[in-house]
Amino acid sequence: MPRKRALGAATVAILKSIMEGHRFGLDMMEVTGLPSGTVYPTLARMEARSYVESEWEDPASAKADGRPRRRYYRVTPEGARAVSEALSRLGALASGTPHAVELP
Amino acid sequence: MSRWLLKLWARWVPLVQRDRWVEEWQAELAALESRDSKRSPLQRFWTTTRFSWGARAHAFELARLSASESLPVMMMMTTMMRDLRFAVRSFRRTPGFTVVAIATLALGIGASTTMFSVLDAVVLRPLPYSAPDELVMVGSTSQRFPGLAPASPADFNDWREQSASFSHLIATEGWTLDLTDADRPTRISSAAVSGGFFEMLGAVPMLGRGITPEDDTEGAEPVVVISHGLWERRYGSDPGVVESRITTADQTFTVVGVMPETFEHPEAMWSDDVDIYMPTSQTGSDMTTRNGRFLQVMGRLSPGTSLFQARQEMSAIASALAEQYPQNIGRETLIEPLQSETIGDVGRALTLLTSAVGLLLLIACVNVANLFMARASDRAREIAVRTALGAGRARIRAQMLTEGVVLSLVGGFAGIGLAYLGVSVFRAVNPAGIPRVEAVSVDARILAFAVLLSVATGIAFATAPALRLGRSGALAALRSGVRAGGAIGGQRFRNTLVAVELGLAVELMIGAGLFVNSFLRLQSVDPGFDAEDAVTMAITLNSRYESAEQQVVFFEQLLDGVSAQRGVVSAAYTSALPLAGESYLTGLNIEGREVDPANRDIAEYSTTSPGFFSTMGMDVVGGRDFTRTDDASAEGVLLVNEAFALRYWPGEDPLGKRISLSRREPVWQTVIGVVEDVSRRGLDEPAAPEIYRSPPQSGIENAQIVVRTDGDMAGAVAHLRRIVGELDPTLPIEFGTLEGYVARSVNQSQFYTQLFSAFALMALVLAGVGVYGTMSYTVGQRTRELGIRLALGAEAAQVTGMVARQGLAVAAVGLAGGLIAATAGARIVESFLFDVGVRDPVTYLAGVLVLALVAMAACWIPARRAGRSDPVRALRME
Repeated sequence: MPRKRALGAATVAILKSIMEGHRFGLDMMEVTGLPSGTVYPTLARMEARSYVESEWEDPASAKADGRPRRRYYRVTPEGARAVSEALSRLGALASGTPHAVELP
Repeated sequence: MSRWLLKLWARWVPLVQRDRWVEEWQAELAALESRDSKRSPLQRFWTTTRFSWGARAHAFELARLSASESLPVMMMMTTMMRDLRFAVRSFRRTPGFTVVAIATLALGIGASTTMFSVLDAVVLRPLPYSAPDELVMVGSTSQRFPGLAPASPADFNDWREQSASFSHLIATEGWTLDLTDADRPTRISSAAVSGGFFEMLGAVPMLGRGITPEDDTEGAEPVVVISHGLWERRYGSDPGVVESRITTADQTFTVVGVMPETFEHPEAMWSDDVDIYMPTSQTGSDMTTRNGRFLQVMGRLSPGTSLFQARQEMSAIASALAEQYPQNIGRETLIEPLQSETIGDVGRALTLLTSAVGLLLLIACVNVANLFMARASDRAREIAVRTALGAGRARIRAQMLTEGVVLSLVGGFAGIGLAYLGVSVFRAVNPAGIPRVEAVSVDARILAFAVLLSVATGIAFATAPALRLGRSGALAALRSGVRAGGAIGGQRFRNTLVAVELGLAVELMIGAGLFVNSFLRLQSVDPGFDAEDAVTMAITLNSRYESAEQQVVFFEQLLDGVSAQRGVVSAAYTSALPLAGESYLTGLNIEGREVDPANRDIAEYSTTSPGFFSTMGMDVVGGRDFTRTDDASAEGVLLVNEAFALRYWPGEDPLGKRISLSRREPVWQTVIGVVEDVSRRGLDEPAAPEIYRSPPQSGIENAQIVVRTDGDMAGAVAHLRRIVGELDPTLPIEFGTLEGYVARSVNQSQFYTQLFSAFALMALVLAGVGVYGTMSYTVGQRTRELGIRLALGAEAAQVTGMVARQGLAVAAVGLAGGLIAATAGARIVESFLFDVGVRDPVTYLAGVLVLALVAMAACWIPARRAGRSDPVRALRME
């Protein structure tokens, strides 16, 4: 089992982008500005932690558009909880409250 | 370019995810290309390549994630496989060690698995009835008839009415029916049972119905329920058998039900199968009498009633009945669980034998542990090299444990094979008439037991050397050469094992010795009659021979016919043959002796024809035998045995004394002779007082004809068969020999003795091998030291003596320990012994002596080798 460490900024950004509806890898890259070498490994890690799930596009609709079917990602409730936790921590860090400084 | 990169990275993706991974990336790439379509080709190439380059990180991440999940398991598997392969290789290098170890284990595990199968099926498994824990046997007991003695019908009825502890209370009585509706009359063992008998046991008939309380009333239609076996044999499994008729010479019954194959009468578990069940009301016995006690009572405790509560209630009822009826004075009730009653002594014997075999297994384990220890010391150098090359202690221990488990599993499977063999032999022979033996089998549970046993033994004997080995310093072992490594500490441990092994073997030897001793004494008991060359024939008359006169006429014709044949020395008959399980008791009054109604005098009772005693080879020591003139019209006469004369008329002349067997007004009969005592119930039981009556004066329906021959027993059987056929072909007959009855009376004891001896013998061999192995090994280890001693001028005899002395010191400790343990534990065999004390000094001495001799031989051979060793060669070996 991968250890549950606090989510990093890049991870939070990727998860957040998925939650906002960018469910395709390429879209995430464009929204977050992160390179493919960061986005995809993060997705793999998050899937292993069950923070995201993935599903395959309906082959019929892919065929209609004349392209290979895509893999779409979705954030699980557990993942959403982790994101909001991380966001509050990052937010506290950004606003410079003493509480946040005491964090290990 | 980008496609080529994806192909390259894909090789890192775990196989199960690979196709999906490629598909995902192709989709991503396609999307990227469609979005970039407006840019220049060079730009497009650059973005797609950069994009595909990122797939490498994804592939590596997936590989890392999957590895972190499966890597430890995979590593363990590879290690285990490597250990296994290594174990097999090293066993193949030392075939001698391997074969001895596997054979030892197979023997130990095979013997214990066989015994455990028997114990499990016969003793441990619950009886095949619903809620068997609630089933009990209820007996009437008194000082004179201890144990679960049968109850009188009147008592049974009172118990049934007054007690609240039982949801069911039923009576049963062994019975036989002679069926006459087939070509040949056949005798069927039957049981008379109260209505509700099957219901109480929770048994449902396969066809038809059981016996109801209405069937069991006076004047009800006679009905029977038949066994599955009889249904198959006699009715060819005809489903229409219900409502058909069964006829005996006296009665016609309607078959109302067939029991399933699995059903057995509880008492049939230790005697014959019961094939016909009939209501007790159909036996013609007086079902209201308080004087005759012939009903075996069983019950089911009501829900929530404990055995203790039932005992209390029944005890109160018994006291009330004793106050009410003089016949019940001194009578108590006894309630025992059906399970323990059914299994009884056999259960104790099997438990004992299973413990004995457990000791044997322990010896086998110790032996293999010893072999392993020796082997481990031999491998000290190999281990040292491996340690030096970086193998951790844990790795080496795991390797040793793997070897132990592999070896014991192989031994275990061989043992299971032996157990299959042992169980089938056991079932086929069943020499001791053990109940429920048909249920004995090697089933899944037993297999699990054997495999667990194997693994446990493997771990047990491999652990000690593994622990010791981990400790030995690698460098020291490498530096000092092969021989010295780990020898000193290992030696002490091996000596301890040998001592323990000898001690266990002594215990088994002494136990077996006690059994053998007891059996020899039992066999040498003189039964009081001459068993050789005598044929017996059991025959039962039917209702056509109603009066004593008709009965006697038939038997006299039969005897006259047989006696006239060639090869027949003499012939006679009796109502109860000694050692044939036939024993009847009668109450009696002796003239001039005060009558105590609670404790009426009793004696064994049988009817014997004139010439019976001389035919049997029993001496009439005073007075005379019966003659044909002692008939119904003559004066009532009796013979008594010596035990009777001694009990009631010590120092007096019994001839002319008078006895009455009548319960009410005395009907005096005169003692005309005294006969030598015989063993009636068993060779191990002292003769009880007996009286013998003349057939015309008592009547006789069931008889055993005894024919003494000049050796041609087959001829006598043929004569008997022909003559009975001429006189009355409807009578069922059954042949036997006096020798057969004597042999059967001791075969249980013989069987236990043989089994116990076999275990002890195996223990002896294993212990001998153990001592020999350890001694040889020690001598091998000390080659150099002994060589130096010899080179410095020690005599060969001195060296031999020194080595042998050291071995024998270990043996002596083991023998002493075993002797103490045997003395302490001997009490558990006490109840199986006849005429031998549990501390019989001769047996103890013999047991220790035999093992001491074996130990000496096992020490002497290697010791002599030590004395003969060539000093030059011994020194050069280093």
